[in-house]
Amino acid sequence: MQTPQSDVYQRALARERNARKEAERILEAKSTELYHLTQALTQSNAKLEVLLQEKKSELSGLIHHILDPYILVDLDGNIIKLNKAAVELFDYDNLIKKAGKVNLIHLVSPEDRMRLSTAFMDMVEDGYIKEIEVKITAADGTVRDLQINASVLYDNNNNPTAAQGIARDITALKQLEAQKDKLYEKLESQNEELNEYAHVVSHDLKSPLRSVNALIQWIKTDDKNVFDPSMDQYFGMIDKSVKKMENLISDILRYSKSEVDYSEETLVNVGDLISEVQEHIDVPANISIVIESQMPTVQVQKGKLEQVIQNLMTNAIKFTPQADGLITWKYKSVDGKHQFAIRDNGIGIEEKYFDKIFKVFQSLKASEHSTGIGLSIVKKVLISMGGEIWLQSTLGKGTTFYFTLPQS
Amino acid sequence: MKGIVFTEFLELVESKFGLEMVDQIITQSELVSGGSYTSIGTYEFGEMLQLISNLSKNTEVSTDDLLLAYGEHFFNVIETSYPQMLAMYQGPIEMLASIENHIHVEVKKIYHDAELPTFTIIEQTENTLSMIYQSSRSMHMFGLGLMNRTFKHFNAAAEIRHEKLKDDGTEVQFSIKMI
Ligand code: HEM
Repeated sequence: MQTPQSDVYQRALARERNARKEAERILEAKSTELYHLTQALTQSNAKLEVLLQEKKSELSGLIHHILDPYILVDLDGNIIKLNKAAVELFDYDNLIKKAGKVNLIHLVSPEDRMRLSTAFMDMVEDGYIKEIEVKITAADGTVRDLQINASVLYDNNNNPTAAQGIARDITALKQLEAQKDKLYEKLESQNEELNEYAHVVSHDLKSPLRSVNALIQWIKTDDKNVFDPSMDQYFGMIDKSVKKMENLISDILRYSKSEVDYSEETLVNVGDLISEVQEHIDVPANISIVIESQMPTVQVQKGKLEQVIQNLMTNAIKFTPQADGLITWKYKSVDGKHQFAIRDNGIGIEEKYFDKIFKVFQSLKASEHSTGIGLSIVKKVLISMGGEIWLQSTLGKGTTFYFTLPQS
Repeated sequence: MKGIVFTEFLELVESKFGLEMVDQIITQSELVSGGSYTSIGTYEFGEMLQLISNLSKNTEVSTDDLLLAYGEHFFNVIETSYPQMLAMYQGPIEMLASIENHIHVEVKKIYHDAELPTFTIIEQTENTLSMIYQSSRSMHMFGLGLMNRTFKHFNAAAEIRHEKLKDDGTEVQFSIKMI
């Protein structure tokens, strides 16, 4: 006979049993679900593994085959990995054998260690460093200059974990640079010597000339009555030759000094400069000068450009003897350069002389004013300014000189 | 509704009123589950509703008071099962303000079929919090129980007022002041 009390227990027991079965069913379903999930995970894991391996070997292959030394270090500078080039350069295998653990610091020359560690700290702070130069003693005992670019590697949470650097051997470059500097210094001092020499020589040459001149004056005044009139003509010729000699010497001096201008570059309006020069040289009445184009403003050492313009103008005037002499200035911009032209309608120059006229002491029409050195100075000055000069000419019709200046 | 809510509820009923009462309310209700609950299962909320209202009828304790007591009891489950979730908070106001955007978000990740209320914060200061409870299940008194225990958990006390914005209790404003 069952009491109501035991009915309650019976039902509670039945409920518990059902609940347990239900729980087992749910858990069973869950484990099946989990099993399938694990299965799927394992599969995609395997795929990822393969992919990772591929990427890893791709990457390490890439790093291994970089010709420049590649180094991976931890944040204390301890070496984690090197590529082939680095192992060979630093004789790493040997270092490891000796020390067991190698720090970046031990790879560079003692005097560069402080600098490298400062640079390393800067890199950890800023994330990278660029073009740090250090000296090392390579495996073969030679001292080499390295230029290092390096950057910090971060993990997924943006915390720095390691650093990698690529070194470039710039020893040869450094040597070349040093050589170049030396050569340049030598050239400069030679140049200076030469200029000084020219200066002294021309000075020394001028004083005997002055003596000759003085002596002639004395002879002329003292022995005036002794000479017949034809002698006057000869004295005149001697005078002229002496003057020409003097001009020649002054020109050599000018030529040797023409490049030596260390003044600042300023902005110069070329049109204004032409007008200025025109006022300084007396333009004879038979010549008109026209500036046909709008002239640019250029950044140059004014003295040099003035010298160029003055020489070209006097040159043009000198070779334009006829009554309706016309000199025109033109300008255009060509291939990123300023190109100026000065044309005269004078006697012209034969083509075979085109090269010669830019050489020192080549004059087509020797006169006491001209030693023919003017155009060689122009060329020298223009080259020092980064420009060029050339000409076109027709005999009897006139000459055009073209010159360029860089547009900075 | 998650099975743990049922099993804990029935255990509480059994400890307070005896197994006969459990048997009685189950027999009085029309339950698809037959009253067999496992904590890892999921059941109709309507079953909880019937169980509570039958208990209320049998004991003459209001459903509100029953739900309040049950909420207070349920906090034990939270304390034993999710201690690390509680450890994330420095104080009760901070924790209560995080139910919507953190705690129940995590619960939803563990049980994607969990049916959770919405808490909308109206105002929050260092010591006060005002928020609106919304749920078709009208279990705000259960929430109040949890809140009371939350303060106890942090060794704090509070004055918690609640005001129904809808008569059926699906929308209730809580004004909490730590003292
Ligand atoms: C770590 C802390 C908490 C956990 C793990 C948690 C977990 C849960 C779980 C599992 C449910 C049942 C869902 C279902 O049956 O589908 C639930 C319901 C509920 N929780 Fe939380 N809860 C936490 C804290 C709180 C707190 C502090 C409150 C305070 C108000 C709260 C208010 C509620 C309410 C009112 C319900 C009933 C469902 C409804 O009203 O729609 N919970 N919670």
